[in-house]
Amino acid sequence: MHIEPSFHKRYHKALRDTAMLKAVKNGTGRLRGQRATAIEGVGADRWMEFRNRAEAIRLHVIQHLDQYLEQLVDNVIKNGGHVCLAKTGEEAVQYIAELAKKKNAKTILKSKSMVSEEIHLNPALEQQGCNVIESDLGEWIIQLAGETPSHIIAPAMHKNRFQVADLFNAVSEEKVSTEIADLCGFARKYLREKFLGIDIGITGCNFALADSGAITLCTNEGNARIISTLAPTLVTIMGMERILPGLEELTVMLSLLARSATGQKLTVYNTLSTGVRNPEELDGPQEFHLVIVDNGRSKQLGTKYEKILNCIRCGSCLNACPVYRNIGGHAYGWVYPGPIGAVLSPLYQGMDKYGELAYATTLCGACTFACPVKIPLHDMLYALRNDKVELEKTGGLVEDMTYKGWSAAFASMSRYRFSIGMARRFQFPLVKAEKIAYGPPPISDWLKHRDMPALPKKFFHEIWREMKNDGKE
Amino acid sequence: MKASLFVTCIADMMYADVGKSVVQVLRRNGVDLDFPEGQTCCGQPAFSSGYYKETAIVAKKMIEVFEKSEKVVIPSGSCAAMIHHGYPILFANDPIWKKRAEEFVAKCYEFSQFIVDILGITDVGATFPKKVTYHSSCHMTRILGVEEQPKTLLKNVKGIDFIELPYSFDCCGFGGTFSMKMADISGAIVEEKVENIIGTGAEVLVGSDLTCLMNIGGRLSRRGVPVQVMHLAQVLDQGGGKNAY
Repeated sequence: MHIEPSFHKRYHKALRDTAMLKAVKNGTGRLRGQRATAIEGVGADRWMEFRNRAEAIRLHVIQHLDQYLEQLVDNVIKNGGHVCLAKTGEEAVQYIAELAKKKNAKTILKSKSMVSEEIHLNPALEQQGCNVIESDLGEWIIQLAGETPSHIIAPAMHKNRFQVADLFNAVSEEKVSTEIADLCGFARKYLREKFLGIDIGITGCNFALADSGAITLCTNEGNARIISTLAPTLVTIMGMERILPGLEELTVMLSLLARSATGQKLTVYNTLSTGVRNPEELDGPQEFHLVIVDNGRSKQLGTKYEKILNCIRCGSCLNACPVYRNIGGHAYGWVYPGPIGAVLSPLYQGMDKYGELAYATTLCGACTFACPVKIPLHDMLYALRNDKVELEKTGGLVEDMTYKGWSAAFASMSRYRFSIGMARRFQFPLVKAEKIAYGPPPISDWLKHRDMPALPKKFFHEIWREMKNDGKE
Repeated sequence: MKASLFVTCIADMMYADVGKSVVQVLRRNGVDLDFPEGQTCCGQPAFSSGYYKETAIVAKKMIEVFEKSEKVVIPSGSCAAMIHHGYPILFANDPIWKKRAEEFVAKCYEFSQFIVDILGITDVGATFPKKVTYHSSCHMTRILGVEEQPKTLLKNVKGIDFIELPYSFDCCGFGGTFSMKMADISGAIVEEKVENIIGTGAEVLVGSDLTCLMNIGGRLSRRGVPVQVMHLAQVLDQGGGKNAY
């Protein structure tokens, strides 16, 4: 999928895609509604307690990340697995590609891994002749479409069933109808056959448990669990922050994750696996590799953005965000869309490339309030903007001059009153029926969609002079 | 009770009538108001664009202007939120100004918050026999934490037919410079808001933040939708009884 480098062009393309926007609004609306019902069921106060506990757990883990990583690695090795600690995405890809070569792997089935999207794993494996198949329904749909995910938990949210039927019919011998049941039936049948020829299975990881080395997978379709059961060689890719101390913490996170993401009390399949099968067991992988990916994460430790590592990828900030709901996920340009993406992308990939995303928000704070682990997303968006101005020493010439001029004028009453007086005097060519509908930049952009009231005959401070002594002796 | 009015730059420049209503409603309810000269703006536009240094210059001025005030009333949820939430960030590394900012923050109240929480009044005696809906502005509810006060006051207005706005807490798409920088996304968001407002069948949209109202009202006006847009103070100022100005 070609991704247009300019955010401006990406979101304008999105704004024209009415089918996509309709699907995204329906999808986010449904998830948002289900989440609200789930919270009502728990009660607002208890929900806040949940969030506080979850936040405390995540803060603790991130503050002791080195310790928990060490414990996790020790336990995975103790359980018979192998571990790759990848500093960059390339290192992770190289490790997995070499493993595939060594195993002479033809068919690789994948499920539920945003990190693999982040590091561009599929193209690398395909280049060396592997047939890589996404097994999660949503991920398979976008793979067929040659696209990237547009939502964290519902990657094909932007597609309607007619579009999905077209994609399925391109690979189906028999005609698939546009009925949901038929579409699911076809996907099940098609993918089941692929599962049986699996050489390597690749999954993501919702949480790794440090005290046992267990990997937790949360899915509603169970496909990731088929992979982790059937694949002779299993690779799990995880972001280095996706750790919890143990089962006790996992119980808190699981119920919070499901409720935040889909409004379920619990995800349908919650699989915990400790890697390779024991000699007496009939299924499970014979070989297990855990690939722990840094790729920009450790850079956030100890900074004002550290809390971004608390994210559990539930996607509720996306559903809450008015910008996401009106432009969809692809416009954000990298793997993680919405408010979390607007913070993660510039932090992980650089301000020069994704700095503009910090402005793709109304700063309404809906994301922060939706976040189950209380990441202050909108505060981070403010901070990113401040970083841009302070570190790059500019927000652009026009903006720099505007705010310098603004602070000079607004720090003094007389200069402020003089400026607005001048504005009132010179607005007359633009005013019609006490409204302004057309004007020069930058208000021309504002006036594209709305009118602006004209400055009135009297300012309040002028009226105050008349009102000052009313009601007094 | 004595209080100072911080009328905000938008109200001063563009909505003088709102300021007038604020004064009348507060006076009728026994507040001895003053309007400290020298006030301009809370600094929000520059702050949300990342220009903290430029914001601090203006913010210091505001702190000085209101130094002698006992309480400060602000007819804008987002400006009150800017002071409560933004000033501590601005002066986090400046012990002297941090202290002065904290003292200022402690006495700043949004208009409806002041009436309900400080004056202890939930019915100001207004009459307004119209169908009304209410937009909850983001910074006032989420950042400042003032949600119920304006609705309580509205619901106690005589003759009012109050209709809840679906997705009332969704942003209107203004977002300060967002509405200029990302004008078309902002346009799509405000369109959603306007559709929801039209759906209620209300004659009047009420809000507690003039910039949201300017945005929503501007869209209603552009589309020619005959829904009137009013600040809460203007509604509370209706049919105001014997003490009316």
